Amino acid sequence: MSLDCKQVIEKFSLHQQPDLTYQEKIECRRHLIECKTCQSEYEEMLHTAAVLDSIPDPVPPPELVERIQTQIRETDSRSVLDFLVNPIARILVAVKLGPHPTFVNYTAMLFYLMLTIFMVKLTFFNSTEPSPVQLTRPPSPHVRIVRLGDVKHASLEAVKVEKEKPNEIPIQSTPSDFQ
Amino acid sequence: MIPDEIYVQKTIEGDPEAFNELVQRHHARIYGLAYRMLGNPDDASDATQEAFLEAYKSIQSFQFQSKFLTWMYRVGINVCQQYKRRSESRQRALTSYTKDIQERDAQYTSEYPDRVLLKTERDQLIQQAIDQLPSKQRLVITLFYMQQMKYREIAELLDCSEGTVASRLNTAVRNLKSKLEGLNLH
Repeated sequence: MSLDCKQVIEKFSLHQQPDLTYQEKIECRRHLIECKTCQSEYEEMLHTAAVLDSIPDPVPPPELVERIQTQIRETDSRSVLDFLVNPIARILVAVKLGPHPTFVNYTAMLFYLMLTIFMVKLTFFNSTEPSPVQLTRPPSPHVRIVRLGDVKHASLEAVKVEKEKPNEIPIQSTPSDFQ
Repeated sequence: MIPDEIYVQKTIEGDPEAFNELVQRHHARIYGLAYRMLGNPDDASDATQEAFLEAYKSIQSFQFQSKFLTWMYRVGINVCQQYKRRSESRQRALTSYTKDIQERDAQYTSEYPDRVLLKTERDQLIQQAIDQLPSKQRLVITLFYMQQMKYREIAELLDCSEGTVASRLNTAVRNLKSKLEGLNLH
């Protein structure tokens, strides 16, 4: 069978016919009249269709629809519970990341473990006593006196820093020294 | 009639009743496919239920590039193939199918006993001849002749070219014809 014959059988198959244009139908019919191979194949197709059409279509049990619909409703309500149980998984599904379920479950477990540790610490180990840092004396500052220069717009160069001289006692001159 | 895709969109937005409308519309076709693929009504019912549930769970993956029914057929075929692998439906098929046919036709037997018995036997033999075909050929025969699908739709569904569908169907018809000739039915 040439390619043309193949195309004709494909196009002229039982349910394709409504899709064909008038011109295509004419061409296919003309081919079927001329080509004996296609003619017998087409007849075979019609015969098979007639045999298979004679078998009654299976009728679904009447309770099947109700059974499926009930299960769909149950699945929907269960999915709300699933969100509460494993929000991470639901969020990952919602953003269509689709990681492996094992990874999602382990991530969720790690998240809950960390959350639990944080909550336990917050509940039982939250002391109100002052920290030991506050009990120690703050170190003495190295810079004690800062004088700004006399210029109107003081610049950093104009800042004079004097270091403290802790053991030096200023000598005050009194009139008795001169006596 | 409201198109299926509107109900799909509503389902994606979180309305399970929209999906139930799709169940109402298409369950008979999916059941028919499952029945032809699995060969017995019990497995066909379970597979249909499983297929719709599977479709509901993965409705987010529907890309709106094909018809919903085509997508649903694909889900149905996958579920039926899984079913066939894991269950011993082949064993149950003959006994259960016979029982089903007998139950269905029992009501007519009183009126035309000879005709009905002959027809039932003939139907069984045709169904058995279809069951004996390789699974790919059986699927193509079912989709083309019984589900009235076009070559293009079958090709899209089975992820192959229209030429492959045509040649597979051709082989299937020849095989079926030779089996039916042996039974003096063709």
